[in-house]
Amino acid sequence: MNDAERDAWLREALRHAPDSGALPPQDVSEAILAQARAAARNAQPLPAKAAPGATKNLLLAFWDWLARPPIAAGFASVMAATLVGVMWWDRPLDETLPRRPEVVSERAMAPAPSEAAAPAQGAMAPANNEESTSGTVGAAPGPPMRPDVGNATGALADSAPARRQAPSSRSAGARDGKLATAPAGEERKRADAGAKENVERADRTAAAPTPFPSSEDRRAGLARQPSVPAAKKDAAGLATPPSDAPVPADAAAGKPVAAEPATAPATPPATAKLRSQAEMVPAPTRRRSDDEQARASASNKVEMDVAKSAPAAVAPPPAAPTPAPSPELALRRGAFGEREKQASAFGASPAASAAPARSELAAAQREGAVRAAPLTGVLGDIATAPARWSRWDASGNAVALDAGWRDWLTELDAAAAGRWRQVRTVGADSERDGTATLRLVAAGRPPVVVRIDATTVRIDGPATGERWQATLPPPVAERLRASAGRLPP
Amino acid sequence: MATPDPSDDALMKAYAAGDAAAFEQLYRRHQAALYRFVRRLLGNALSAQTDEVFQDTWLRVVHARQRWQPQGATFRTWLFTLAHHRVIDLLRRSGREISSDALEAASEGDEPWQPEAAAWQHWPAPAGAAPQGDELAFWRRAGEKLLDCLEQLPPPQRSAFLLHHDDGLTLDEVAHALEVGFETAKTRLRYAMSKLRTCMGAYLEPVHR
Repeated sequence: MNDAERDAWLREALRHAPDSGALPPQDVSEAILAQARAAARNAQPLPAKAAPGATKNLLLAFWDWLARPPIAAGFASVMAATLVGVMWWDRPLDETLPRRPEVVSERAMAPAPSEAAAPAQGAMAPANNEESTSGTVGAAPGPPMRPDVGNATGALADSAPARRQAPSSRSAGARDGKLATAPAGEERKRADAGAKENVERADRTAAAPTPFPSSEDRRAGLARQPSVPAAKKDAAGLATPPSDAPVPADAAAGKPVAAEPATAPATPPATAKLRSQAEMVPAPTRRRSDDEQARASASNKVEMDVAKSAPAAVAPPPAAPTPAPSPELALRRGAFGEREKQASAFGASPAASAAPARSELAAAQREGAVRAAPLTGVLGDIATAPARWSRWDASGNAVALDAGWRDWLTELDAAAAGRWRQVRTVGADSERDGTATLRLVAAGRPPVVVRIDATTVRIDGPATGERWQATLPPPVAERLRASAGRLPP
Repeated sequence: MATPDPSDDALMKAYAAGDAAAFEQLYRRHQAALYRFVRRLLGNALSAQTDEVFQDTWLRVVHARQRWQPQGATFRTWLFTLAHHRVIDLLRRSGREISSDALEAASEGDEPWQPEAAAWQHWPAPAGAAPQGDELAFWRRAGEKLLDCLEQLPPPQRSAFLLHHDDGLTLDEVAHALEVGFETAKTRLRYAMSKLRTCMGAYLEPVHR
């Protein structure tokens, strides 16, 4: 018997084993089948149930991705920027945007007493003086544009190229002595084109983020200043007479218009036009903060005042010379003070800390410019009340101031115009040989001593403790000394 | 003409698709063999766990319906594999499992003991479909003795014998079901048969004396 036969026997024995017919209990089978049916019923919705799980897994995967440091840092930055944006959302954005010309024009339409009373103030260094001086005399068919209009616009354009261009153009205008005679229509077209270009440029640059103070500061600044930058204030202060007013040749040549009587009222359209042009400040200027703009404008204006006051001294004395500053100068001083206030209103930036010192310096320069002609006041006083004035002769006796000495003083004043500078009083100067000396005395006034030593003219005492000095060209000084020698001692 | 019954794999796929009837058909087809396999593999000592292991095996089939793939083995092989794992786990917990490796190492190189060939000569010829009378009684007693002999076999050899001789799996399927190599399965089966022959020959011989 082999294994195969024996295995057959074993299988047969196994088949007849007592448990060969054993079956699982009925309850067990029912339980198994019930669970199998339940699982089969749930088999259909399985894909539907998989959706929430998939969504959950997707969210978990997204969260894991978000938890990575670079992603988390970027997300935090975006969230912070969004938060800042939302916090800034309810703030008026137009505060940081450049004003539309229409808005400024509307404001210009509203009559401001000070502006209407001071129509012609701003004969400032113009950036577009070349335009006003490049025309030919008498070629204007329409109403000529006043040179100070261009000056005002150019002065407000405080961009560096404009500032660099201003002296050369002014000097060129003075050399040529040409009138600003470009046709007014062409001039206005050019100005309008420039205005449009500037508006577009300002709109483009307005979208760029600008440094702005805090909301409270901005609101406070707005409360103090009616949201018009200092440049606009300059433009407002530079309201001009009607455009059809006659243009003086001196003014057209770039000379100051301080002596021009400012009597013509400012017409609103012209003012609006001016403001619109003044609004067209180049984009770099727009991007600067308001305080910087105000300070720059004020500084620029002071420079212009100093530059203008010197030629004013060269001009012959007015019919009624007074030591007090002219109304234009007073208005300008008022405007300057206002701009100083505006500049100080935005004192949040570190650069604003230098504003007071600069302000004082500008005030000193302005005062010096006012009194840069120390003899003018004396001559005016002599002209109005000649009886009050006398002079000391060589022996120290008071004698009447005769006409010869008055003419000499007038000649001296004209020759030293623009050369005066105030010097410290160190002590009494000893008179050297060849020194021409005139001692003037008047009732109720300190004595005024005028000396010409070589090429230097010194005046002591137009006000108490003051000494002014001017260096004359040698021929002029020689001529004055010679003429003084011919006068009675 | 009746349509042929679908294969186990087709029924399992149908059940995985949500056809509960397919599972019932599978269950009816394999429940008796699996229950018998689990009961014999557990032995008399752990026969009380038969229902639990049997139910747990089918529930594993239910839960694994979506993941099930034939992967070269039939459903029946996979079903008995699941049952075998559960039984082995239960035997380990009860401390009755004997390391098959130790058993095989100890007996390696040794030819399994064979009873005397004369002992088998008294066995009746394998009965037909329905033995009658004394022949049926003989086979019943032989079956009882075989179950006792199976109790003495190590579980790996027992499972190999049951899978091959009771459930009709081929040696390849046995190896696959037991997750062992073909030679290992063959060795286990050879040792199991040798022991059973000895055990059964010693019992049957006196019967016919």
